[in-house]
Amino acid sequence: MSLPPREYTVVGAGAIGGTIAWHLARAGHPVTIVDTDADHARAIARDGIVVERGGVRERQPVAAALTPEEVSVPLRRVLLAVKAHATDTAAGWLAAHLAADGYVVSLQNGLNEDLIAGHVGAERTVGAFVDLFADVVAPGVINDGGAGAIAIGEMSGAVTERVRELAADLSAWGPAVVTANVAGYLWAKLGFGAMLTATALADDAMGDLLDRHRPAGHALVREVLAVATAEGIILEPFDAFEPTAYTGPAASPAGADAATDRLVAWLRTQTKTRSGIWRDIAVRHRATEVPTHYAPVLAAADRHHIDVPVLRALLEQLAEVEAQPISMSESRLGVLDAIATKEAAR
Amino acid sequence: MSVPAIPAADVAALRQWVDAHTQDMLDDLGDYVRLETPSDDLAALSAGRDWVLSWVERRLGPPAAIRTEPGGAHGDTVVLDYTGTQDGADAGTVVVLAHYDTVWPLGTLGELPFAVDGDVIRGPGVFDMKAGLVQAVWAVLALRAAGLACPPLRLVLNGDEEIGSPASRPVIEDSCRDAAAVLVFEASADGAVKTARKGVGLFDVTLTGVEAHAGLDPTAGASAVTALAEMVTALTALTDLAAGTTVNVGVVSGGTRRNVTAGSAHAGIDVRVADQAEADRVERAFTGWRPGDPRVTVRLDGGWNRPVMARTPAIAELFERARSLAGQLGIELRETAVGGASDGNFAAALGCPVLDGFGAVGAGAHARDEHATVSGMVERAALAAAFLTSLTAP
Ligand SMILES: [Zn+2]
Repeated sequence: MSLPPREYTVVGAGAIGGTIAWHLARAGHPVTIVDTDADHARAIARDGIVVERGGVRERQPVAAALTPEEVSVPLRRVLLAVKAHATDTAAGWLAAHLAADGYVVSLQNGLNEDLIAGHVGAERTVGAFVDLFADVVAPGVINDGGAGAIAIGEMSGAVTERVRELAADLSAWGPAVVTANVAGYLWAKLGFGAMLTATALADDAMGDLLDRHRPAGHALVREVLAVATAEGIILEPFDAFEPTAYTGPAASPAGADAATDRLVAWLRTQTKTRSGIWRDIAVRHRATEVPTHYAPVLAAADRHHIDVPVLRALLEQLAEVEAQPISMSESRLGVLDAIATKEAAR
Repeated sequence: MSVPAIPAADVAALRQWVDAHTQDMLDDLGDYVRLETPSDDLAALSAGRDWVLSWVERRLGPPAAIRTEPGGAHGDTVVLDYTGTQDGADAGTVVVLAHYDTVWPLGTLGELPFAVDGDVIRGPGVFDMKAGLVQAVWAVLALRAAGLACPPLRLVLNGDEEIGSPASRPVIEDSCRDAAAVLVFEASADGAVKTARKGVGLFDVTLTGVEAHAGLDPTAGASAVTALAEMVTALTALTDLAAGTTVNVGVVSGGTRRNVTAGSAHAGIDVRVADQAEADRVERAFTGWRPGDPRVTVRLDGGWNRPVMARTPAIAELFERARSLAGQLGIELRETAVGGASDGNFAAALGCPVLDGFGAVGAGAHARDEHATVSGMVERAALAAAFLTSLTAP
């Protein structure tokens, strides 16, 4: 191994946390897992983490797997990978267990950095954008659907030694880079995520639904990105998503359509045709993280007096579908299209 | 409820045996997929039916009984009965539903050839639902190889599922009536089996008015087109997204000439409902609707093409059994209610315990990215074997 081993603590051993822990441990870093599910922690302590790639399962032991109560030493490098709605509790716990020179990096979706910084301080909070295709397919087994990208950066935008080290170590997983604009990625992902969330209202392929319901998709992106722009965010492209095609001085209807064409084509190359949100609702029967992810967006929209009618309608419809998955229907996207079209005509 | 676990050694043996026969399964699937079977091509369907019959007989031996129901304008339905093993003969009959038709037109194979790349299997109909039947047959072979009990089986193979099973529906209903369990080897939804499905109604409304010259005698006529406009609004308003109900008037036609009060008009309507109460509500509204002008008469044709499949206690029990056995195989089996209707709806409407989506793991039914997985075939064939043998336990 070319890099010196560094101790990491991964809090929350779900799909993202498990995948990252597996790759870090495999690269020779001592990884400690912390998970509130005692059975899950025991299983990992005993069997390691199992990652499945292309139908093949590989086991990787970790240094330790504990429940929060069992943690006794101060933690230095903490990768936080709990579900978004558990962030507050986890960050509160970390405030009491983080070393003075330690840091917490959020490997979660959504805008969690401010919440974390509120507990552990901004100087001990590192920002991250994670684009990773992983799924828990069986207890203790994670399907690694391939690497997207990780971008890491200080909230201040400074490039420090600790973010360079972290990016270098995360390269064991896949493309990990240092960025001065984590927020630009996170907001772009919220824009893209709103479109994907809309496809979870029906039971069909993401690419096909997005292709057929462009008024809704484009309006959702524009609403979220308008809030981002008001917040002073410079948006960053990722994967096949190009935020500047939908908002800003270079945006045009034709440009947005062309960008969506590329996005649809890219979605159609993915082996997973449904989103993780669709799976949460249809298959796992659990509440999605979507309301938590978009709560800060709605709050910022209110602050800037920006109307986000399609986003609000989306969240209402999502709640209905969560309550009754069988009520998924493409007509729901039709309703969003109608709201978007009516708004555009105003 | 408690589910009888089967000995861990038996589960492991089944899994190992299926695993060791992965290539055989893929070879069978390849032969099956290379024979294209579009729902609307009778010659291709009968060739497909013949291949399936000879293949099943080659793998499982001659059935105790075989019955072919001609499909007329559609594919035939074949029902094969296999007696159970001696230690499983007392169990009730398990019906396996598997359609051999696909949505793909003849020649698709040229652009989308059968191919296995790593874990991914591609080819027209591979996911919906050719891999499912191959898994079912290999599940029975696995039981025989392991010397485990197998209940009496009835394989119902139809060639018109993708167009709504017009010819096979009575055969399916007849075959399922006395079933202890009905297993539909349709594709899973992201690995989940289906324990509830929406019902689908296909209705046609014909309105007959009184023709008259609109310019010369505007009050003499009774416009079927005006009535149609009222009807579209009234029936579409029955949509209740939160309840899972959609009413779509997809096709309309009517009238003859610009200056003639329309004597007739027609609408084609698609209805989806999530439960029987909604089905009843919609049907009442359809039959009760009358146009503003009483001179226009209404005729309602069509009906519930696929009845609602509700998650009954019996269905929940079958799922719990499958989930528990899957756990023994290291699989977390889930259930879902989303997705379109299938032949499982017919069996469920008769009150049979149905487990649907028990077939392939993969994605992209009816889409160009259709694929199944090799690991899924192995895992689900082993699961089906464990499930079948568990049904013979007293
Ligand atoms: Zn099918």
